[in-house]
Amino acid sequence: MIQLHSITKSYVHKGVKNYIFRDLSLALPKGQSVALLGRNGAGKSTLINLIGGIDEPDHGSITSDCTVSWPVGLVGGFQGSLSARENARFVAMIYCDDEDEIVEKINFVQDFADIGMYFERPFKTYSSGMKARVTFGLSMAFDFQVYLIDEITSVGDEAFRMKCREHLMRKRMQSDFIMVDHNLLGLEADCDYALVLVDGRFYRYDDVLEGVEIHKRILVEPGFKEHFLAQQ
Amino acid sequence: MSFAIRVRVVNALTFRELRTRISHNYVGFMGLIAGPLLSILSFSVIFTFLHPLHDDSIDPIIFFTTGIVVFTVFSETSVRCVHAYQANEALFFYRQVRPIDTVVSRALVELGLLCLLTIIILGPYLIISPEPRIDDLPQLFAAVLLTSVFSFGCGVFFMIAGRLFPVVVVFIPMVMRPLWYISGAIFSLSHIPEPYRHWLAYNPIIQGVELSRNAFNSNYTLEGTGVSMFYLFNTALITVVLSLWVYTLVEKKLRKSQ
Repeated sequence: MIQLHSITKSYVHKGVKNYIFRDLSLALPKGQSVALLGRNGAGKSTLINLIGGIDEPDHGSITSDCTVSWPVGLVGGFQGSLSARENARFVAMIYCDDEDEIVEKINFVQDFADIGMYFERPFKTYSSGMKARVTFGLSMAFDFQVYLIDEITSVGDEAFRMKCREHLMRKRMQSDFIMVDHNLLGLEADCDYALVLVDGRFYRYDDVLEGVEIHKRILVEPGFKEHFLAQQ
Repeated sequence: MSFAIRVRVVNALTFRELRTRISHNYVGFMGLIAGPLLSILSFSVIFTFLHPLHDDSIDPIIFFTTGIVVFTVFSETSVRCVHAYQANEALFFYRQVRPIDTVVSRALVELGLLCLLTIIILGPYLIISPEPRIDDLPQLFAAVLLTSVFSFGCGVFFMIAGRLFPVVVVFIPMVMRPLWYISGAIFSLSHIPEPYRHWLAYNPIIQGVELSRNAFNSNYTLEGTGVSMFYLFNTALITVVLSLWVYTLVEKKLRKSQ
């Protein structure tokens, strides 16, 4: 269970405070995966970052009683001057206690990424495809009770995409996903419910497809959003 | 979060710090020793033959090594901590990594590297010199350690300042040059006339320097200089407690995306 207790989050740009969430409370129950839907800039990634502990809210707090991953799919968390091996070791050193386990994780990432000798070169020299391979491999090397999955933008070729999907499905067996809508891997249909984010508020749909339908209509149909909000 | 996690994170950051400092080959490490080694040698030569500014009671190599190394512990730790947040920004992606951990690992790495440097320089020298001596080893350890603890406290302040007020990033390295001249790296406090001596003695770094010299050779007198382990200990303690207190107040603000 992950709980958000009256979260307020804003960004200041050129002296103007822009509120993403105002006094938002939300409970994400255990054993259920959720698809977050909303237009770009609605605050889906902000929510993911807040739950992931990368960002802090202005007010309010977040509590969880389970292990939560870092946001999977983003090419964050890598030191450009270090190689993929060194980056993997760094992360393994944070999560593991003994050297055997650390080496095992590094080997997993190396096998998964399958980028040959580039594995030893500085991360900043990689192409975006190679970065995605290492990033994704690192996320799959560890077991979390909840996975935060942000938009996976570029995941290399078709074969690699299949591999990612396969691994995610396997993780899905024992873990919950909190994921931002992306059709790329066709995963959102596997979620138990959808949260549609409109103007800093979440609306829950137990039928994911219904949520997707509402989300699409808000995006394309003029006046639907006002109509939708008036109904709530 | 638990102590075990802090240890793991600091351990991981120290690994990352060493990898980037020493950069896969020995050239990086040579670069680390070359700077301080050159200053120590040049000062020893210049002052021994041209202008005996140092105290006669102590060997010039030891005099300058202690001065330069102890000052460098402070200056390197401070200057590196100013950049501690920015340099590790990508790694705050993992929720266990907290801003304070970057300062702890940087302070540890600087202390470790400079101790290694001192052993490399003074080890052979003490073996070949006619009367090798370290009169008070515990005092030497205490003086260096307390200077490092003091530097860590300053490092926490500088990390916070560097993150919240970017102008500090330019300012701190500029302060290091004048500080070098008043921290006793190249002079002895007992050679400074009053009332200036009295004022200079307030500087904890000069205390660390003088205490280290006195630890090597007890003939190097500290009498009438106002230097004491008690003062250094208190300053280090107060700085650390104060910096950690301020840190707990602003930690959330540091982590927040800006």
